[in-house]
Amino acid sequence: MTLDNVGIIGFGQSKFVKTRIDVTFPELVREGATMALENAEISIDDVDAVVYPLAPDALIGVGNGERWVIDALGAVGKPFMRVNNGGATGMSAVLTAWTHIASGLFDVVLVAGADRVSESSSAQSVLNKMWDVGYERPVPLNTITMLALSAQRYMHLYDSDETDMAMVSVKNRYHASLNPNAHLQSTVTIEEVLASRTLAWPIKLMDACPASTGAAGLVLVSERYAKKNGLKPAWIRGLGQNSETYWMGNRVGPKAMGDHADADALAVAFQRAYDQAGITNPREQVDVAEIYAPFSSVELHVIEAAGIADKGKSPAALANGDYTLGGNGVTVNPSGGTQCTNPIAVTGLIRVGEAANQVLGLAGAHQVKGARVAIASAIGGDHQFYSTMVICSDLEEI
Amino acid sequence: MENSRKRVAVLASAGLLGNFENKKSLEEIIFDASKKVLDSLGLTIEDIDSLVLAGQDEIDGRVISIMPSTGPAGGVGKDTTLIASSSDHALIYGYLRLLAGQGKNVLVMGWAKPSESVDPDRAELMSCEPFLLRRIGMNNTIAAALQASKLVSQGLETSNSTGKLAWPLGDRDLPARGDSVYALVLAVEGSFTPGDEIAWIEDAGWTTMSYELGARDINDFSALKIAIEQISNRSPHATSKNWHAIEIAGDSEYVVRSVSREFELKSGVEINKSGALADLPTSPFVSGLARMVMAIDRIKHLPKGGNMVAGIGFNGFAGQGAAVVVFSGSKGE
Repeated sequence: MTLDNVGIIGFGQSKFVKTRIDVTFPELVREGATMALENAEISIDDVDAVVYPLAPDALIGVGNGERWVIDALGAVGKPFMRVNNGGATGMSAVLTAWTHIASGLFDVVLVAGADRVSESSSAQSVLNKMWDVGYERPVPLNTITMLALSAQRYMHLYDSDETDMAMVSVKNRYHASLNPNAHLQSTVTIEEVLASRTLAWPIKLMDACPASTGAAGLVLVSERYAKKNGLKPAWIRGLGQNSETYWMGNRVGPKAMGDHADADALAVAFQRAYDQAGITNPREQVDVAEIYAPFSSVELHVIEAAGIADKGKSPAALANGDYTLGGNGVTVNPSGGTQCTNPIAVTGLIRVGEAANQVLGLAGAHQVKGARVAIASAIGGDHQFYSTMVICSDLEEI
Repeated sequence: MENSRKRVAVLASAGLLGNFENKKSLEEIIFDASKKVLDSLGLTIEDIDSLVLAGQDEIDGRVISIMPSTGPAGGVGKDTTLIASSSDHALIYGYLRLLAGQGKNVLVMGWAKPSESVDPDRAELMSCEPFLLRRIGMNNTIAAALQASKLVSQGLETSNSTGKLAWPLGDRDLPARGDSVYALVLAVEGSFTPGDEIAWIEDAGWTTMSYELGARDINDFSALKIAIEQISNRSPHATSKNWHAIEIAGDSEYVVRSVSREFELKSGVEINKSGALADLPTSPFVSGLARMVMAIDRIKHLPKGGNMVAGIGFNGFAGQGAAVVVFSGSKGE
């Protein structure tokens, strides 16, 4: 497939926190839209269409919540649609916006949204309800217990331990301390992570993401619009999506369709994006990875699915100084990643925005020096939906 | 904006609708519809490049509707996206994907199975924002009644429908509610044998207006007008005065009757030849896609050549959003 060139000219995000009592939900959404438009130096009148990411309706307590925020978004009278791919929604929405432009019908598309996860009465109770009522919901599964099973399997299969996970937390908290928008900004030590409260073994409090409130937005443009207006966007060079089985029971045991230790379906999505972008050796060709990993254990197998490390080998590389700002090889989650900021509906969007900032040299204190090629990914459902992107500062061969 | 992309065709469509399906789960009827549309083409899911789905969390009673539905639809191992704003948006997004070169074909599905919901009315109430509309108990029927009453005040005749539910709406004025699932296979020209298509997509327009009923004129059809204008601007040949038939999913028959008054239409245009709103049970979330499937079906009943049919859907209270897809029977209509 030959891609039409679509670029990112604006990215805005709020300072993420636990709660925001100063704004209603539509007002929060407006923040994301306004910041993205201001960063792109355009107005809503310049926007041809709007794509809105919103994951479970239940988290904000309003069904079809997109209809409620349309005035705040400034999208009245414009082509408008909402995407809901669970946790992958933010990136799926960017992919949907890319599609709008690549279709040839639009030149400028805004993607903006918000979430206030911590303000749901019980986010994990809501998320337990995403499983089948008869079989897996009563286990009881939630996002933490579901991924604790994955972490246990990874430890068993690759002779890994809790310290490997703690190293991820230490790295991401250090990175987040350099990111003024991150929710968790304090650094931690391995000892502190290991001593933190166990949520679902082996996942401990400091291995886990926060429930974040905040907003974010992106502005995407066609190549012809960028040229006409003398803009230098971050270019989306490759994108991919893939879906996995719904059932946890299909990922464990001798008849498993996939091993819960790994993220093989994500690897397929990465390969789809790499094929489009011409990436054959991500370890050499990629400078930065903004990958969706709400728990430290997840980051290990996502690094491997991205082809940055062999299966089971990312902990050793991390111990060797890889993935850290100023360290060796690909820098992973220089923003602190999802583990330090997780406003579910826009988390995937932030991954793309942070990747774009990196290749444009706009990431501030967490900038990876000389970054040209970045990858981004998102995960939705019970590790069921995967989105990936390759973003580059130019349109030359990668 | 001119678009010189490859044309997109509809190869097959399938619908399963009924009053209330209590022998099969939502997942089973999704599987049935997916299999039915693929079987009609002699295809298997392996032949499909990607899926675009449409479901509504509250009606489905699934916190993330795409999760349980992707497997039965056939999406495991594939690029799958759920468009949550309206089922007709899913059809439009499938169309955009093919224009954008994302594969040779796409399976589009939309559904609603309110019979599995403990309380569909409560689910509808939960789509109201919590500050005003939820407190006053707004729902689709009341919003449709407000819209219809305003149309009556402007001269539209009241209907003879009995069993008034919310003045001026009687039971024959309102869409019948029921379980339904629709599936379509779209494909880009060159990927199938010419003549295998059942319709071509000429263009699509869609938009959404202000949320609060008090912030807009609920009977001016502004969302529909803008959607049609988008099509006219891009594809003048597909403008409303060239449509031979219209299948429209109005919030009430008052809306259906108003279309011929509000828009410049061809003389003798057929409107909802497939049946009245009360005769085709569906759900507001999927009714637009249902009428688009019926619009495609109308193509084969019209004379060859010059046969353009529009499918129209609405979303939100009193037509907050509207979507129009124009189909034709021959390429390059």
